Amino acid sequence: MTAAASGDTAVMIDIHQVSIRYGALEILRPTTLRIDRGTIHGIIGPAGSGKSSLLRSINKLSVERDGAIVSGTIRVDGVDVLSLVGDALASLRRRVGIVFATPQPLPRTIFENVAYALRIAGITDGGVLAGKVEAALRAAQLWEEVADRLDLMAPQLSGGQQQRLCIARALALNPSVVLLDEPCSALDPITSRRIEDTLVSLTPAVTVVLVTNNIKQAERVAHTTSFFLMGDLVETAPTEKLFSAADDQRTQDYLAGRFG
Amino acid sequence: MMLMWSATAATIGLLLFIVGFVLRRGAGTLSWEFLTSNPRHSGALGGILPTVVSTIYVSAAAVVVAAPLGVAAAVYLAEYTNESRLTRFIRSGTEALAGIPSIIFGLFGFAFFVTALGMGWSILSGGLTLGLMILPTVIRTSEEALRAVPGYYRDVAQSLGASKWQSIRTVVLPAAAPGVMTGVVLGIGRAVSETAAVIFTAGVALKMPWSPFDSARTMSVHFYTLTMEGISDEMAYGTASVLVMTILAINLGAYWLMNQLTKRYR
Amino acid sequence: MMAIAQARRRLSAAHLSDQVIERMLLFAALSAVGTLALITLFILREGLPVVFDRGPLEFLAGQKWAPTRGHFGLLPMIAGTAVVTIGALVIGLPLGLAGAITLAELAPPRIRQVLKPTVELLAGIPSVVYGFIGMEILVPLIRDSGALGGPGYSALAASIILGIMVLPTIIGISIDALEAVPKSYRDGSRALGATQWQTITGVVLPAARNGIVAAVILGMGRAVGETMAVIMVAGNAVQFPNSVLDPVRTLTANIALEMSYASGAHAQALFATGIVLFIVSLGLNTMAGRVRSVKRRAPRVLAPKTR
Repeated sequence: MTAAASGDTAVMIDIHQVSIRYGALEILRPTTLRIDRGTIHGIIGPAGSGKSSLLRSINKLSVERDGAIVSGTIRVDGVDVLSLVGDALASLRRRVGIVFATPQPLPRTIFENVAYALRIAGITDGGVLAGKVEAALRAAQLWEEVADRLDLMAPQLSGGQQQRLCIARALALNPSVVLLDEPCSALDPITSRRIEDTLVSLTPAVTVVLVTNNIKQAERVAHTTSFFLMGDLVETAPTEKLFSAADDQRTQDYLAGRFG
Repeated sequence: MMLMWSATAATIGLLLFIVGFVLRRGAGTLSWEFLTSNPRHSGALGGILPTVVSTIYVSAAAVVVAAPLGVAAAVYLAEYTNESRLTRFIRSGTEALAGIPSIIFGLFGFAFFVTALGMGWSILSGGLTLGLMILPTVIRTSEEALRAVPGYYRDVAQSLGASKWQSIRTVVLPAAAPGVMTGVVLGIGRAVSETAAVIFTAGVALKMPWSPFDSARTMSVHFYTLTMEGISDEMAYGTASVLVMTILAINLGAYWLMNQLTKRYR
Repeated sequence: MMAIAQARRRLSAAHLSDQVIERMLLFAALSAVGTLALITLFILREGLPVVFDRGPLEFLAGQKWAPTRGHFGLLPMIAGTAVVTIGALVIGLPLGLAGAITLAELAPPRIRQVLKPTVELLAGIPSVVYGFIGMEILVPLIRDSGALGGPGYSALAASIILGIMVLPTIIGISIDALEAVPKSYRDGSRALGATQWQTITGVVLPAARNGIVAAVILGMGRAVGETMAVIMVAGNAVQFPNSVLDPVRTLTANIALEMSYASGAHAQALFATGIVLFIVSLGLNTMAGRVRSVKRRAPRVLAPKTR
C-alpha cells in the first residue's frame, strides 16, 4: 500500500497493483496507474489488452456483472472501491458514471432515461427532477435537440443522440468521475467530434477516463494517455509527449500503426 | 416432399376439423341464456351458469398460487444463480413436476388438500391443486422471458446506483412483463381445460358456489359428466363449444398481449 | 462534497433487504421441488401400505383386478397402457416428424409464422373434447366399418386419439431440435451438391436426432399420463387386449374410474396404481432430459448420402 494515496489530492483515481482475471485467464497483470483530478485520461491499446476490464473495475461493475476476480486496490477520491458492497457501492456508483460502447438506452422515454438514476437515488419531486434532467441534457449537449420531445421513447433516437443520452444519463447525479468505454466506436466522425467536445467541456469539474480504440481521438482530447498491450501497462505520459516521443518502442510502433 | 406437405396438411386439417366440428354442432345450443341460466334436470336442460362461475373461481385460485410463486422462482433462476448444483437440482425438480400426469395431481390433491388438510371438495382444494400443476409452466415461460431481456439493461441500472433487486424490479421485470404475462395466461388456459385433477379436488356439485370451501363443478367436468352419463348431447356440444372458444380466446389473447406489450416496451 | 467516511460504513438497511429478497426468491424457486416432494410423500403414504401388505409382485404381475375381492393385479392395465401408448406413437411419430420437418425446413417463413402458433394453439384443446370427438366419430367409424368392427371402443380408438393429442408435443419439440441445427450444416451439404431432401435426411435429421428422441419420449409421457380422452374411447374393460379392436383399460383410467367410489384397501390400491404411473412418468421425463443434454456433442462433418 502506498503512503501517498490519501494525502495526494491531485490524484482522483489511484490504481495500485491491480490484476484482473476471469477464471484461469489473466486479462490484466498487476498494474499501477494514477489518474489526476479534473483531467481527461486516455487509455489506448489493441483489443484484449485489459482496458475495458480495468475501466469496469473502477466502479466494480466487472466483479458484479462479468464475474471478474480483481486483486489490488482501486481508490476513487480516497475510497477503496473493491471493498465496497451494497448501499456503499451504490453510493459510489452515483459518483462514478459510466458510458458503454454501444448506445444503450433503457426502453423508456428520454426524460425517464435521464431521471432513472435520480429516482433510484430517492429523488421524487417533479420540479427537482425536471431541473436535473435538463442540466444533464445540457451538459451532454443534447438539450436543444430533444427539449420539446422529452416524452419520445429513447430507442427512437439516432445512434449519436442515443449515446449523448447515455452520457446525460451518467451525468444526472453530478458525478465526479465519468468512465467511457469506447463511446464512439459505433458512431460517425461528426457525432464523435461532438462527443469529444462534450467531454472537454466537462473538465475540470469532472474527471474523465476515456478508453478508446481511436488513437487520434486520444490525441485530440486526452491530457494524459496510457498505452496498454496484452495485459500490461506499457507507458503513461502526457499525451503530447506520448504521441511525439514515446519512451517505449512498442508504444511508438502502435501509434505508427505498425500493429493493432 | 409432397409426402411431408400432405402429412402436415392432414395433421393441421385434422386439428382444425376437431375444433370446427365441435363448434358447428354446438352453435345451435349457444346463446346468452345458455351461459347465464342454471341447469335443470342434472344439466339436460337450461344453461351452464354455475359451471362458468366455478371455472372462473377455480382458475383464479390457481393463478393466485402459481403466478407469484412461479415468477419469483423464475426471477431467482434467471437472475440470482450461476448454474450450480443447486440450480440444476431446482431445474430437474421443476422439469419432473411438469411431466407428472394430471390424474396424479388429482390423487395428490385429494389426499393432501381434501383429506389431510381437511378442506374437503372445494374451490380452494381444486384451485390450489391446479396452481401447483401449472407452476412449472409459469416458471419455464417466465424464466425464458427474463433471460431474453438484454444483459446491458442490468449493467446500466446497476451502474447508475441501483441495487440488484432494484434493477430487477425497475428495469428487468418490466421488460420481461410481456413474456411473463403470456406464460400466466397460458397457464390459465391449462387450468380451464383440466379435468382429471379437478374432479377429485373440487368435486362435482352442480350448484352456484358461494364460498371458497364450496364444492364446485367446472365446465370441463360438467362436459365430461354430460357425456359419460349420456344426459344430453345438445348440452354436451354446447358446453364443449364454450370450452373450446374460451381456450382459443385465452390463447389468442395471450399472443395478442405479447404483441401489444412488446411493441410498447421496445 | 462526498461523504467518503460514510461510504465505508457498514451495510445499510437497503442492502439487508436485498438479502432478504434473495432468500424469499430462493424459497419460491424451491417450491416446485417442494411440491414434487410433497406429491411423492403423499402418494407413497397412501399407496405403499397395501403394496407391502400384498407384495409388489401382486400388483405388477398379477393378472386379476378385482379390488373388492382382494385381487390387485395391474398387469391388464399395464398392458393396456403399453398398447395404447405404442399405438399412439405409431401414429404420432410419423405424422409429427413430417409436420416438424415441413414446418422447420420446407415451409417459407411466412407460412411457418402462421402454422407454428396454430399447432401450439391446438395443443390447448381440452382432452375431454378430444375424447368426445373420439366417442362421436371415431368409435362408430371403427365399429361400423366392415374391415374393423368390434365394439368400437377399443385400443385402436384410444391409440388414434392419443396419437393426435401428442402431435403438438412431438411437432413442437422436434421443430426446436431441427431449428437448433446450425445453418452451416445445411449450407455445407448444399454446397457439396446435395438436394434439400438429401440434406434433411443425411445431415439435419441425424444432427437433430437427440432432440427428436427427446420429443418422442416426452410425447410418450403425455400419452401414458392421459386420462379423460382414453376413458371415453378405450372401453375400459379389464382384460388383456388380444387385438387392437378389443376394449382396454389403462392405468390412468383405472384410477379415475374407481376413485370416486373406492374405499379402504381398494382406494389404497388405486394410490398404488398411482405410484406405478408416477414412477413411469418420472422415468420417461428423466430419460428425455438425459437424451437432451447429450446434444452437446462435437459437430460431425457428414457427407450427404448419395444414391
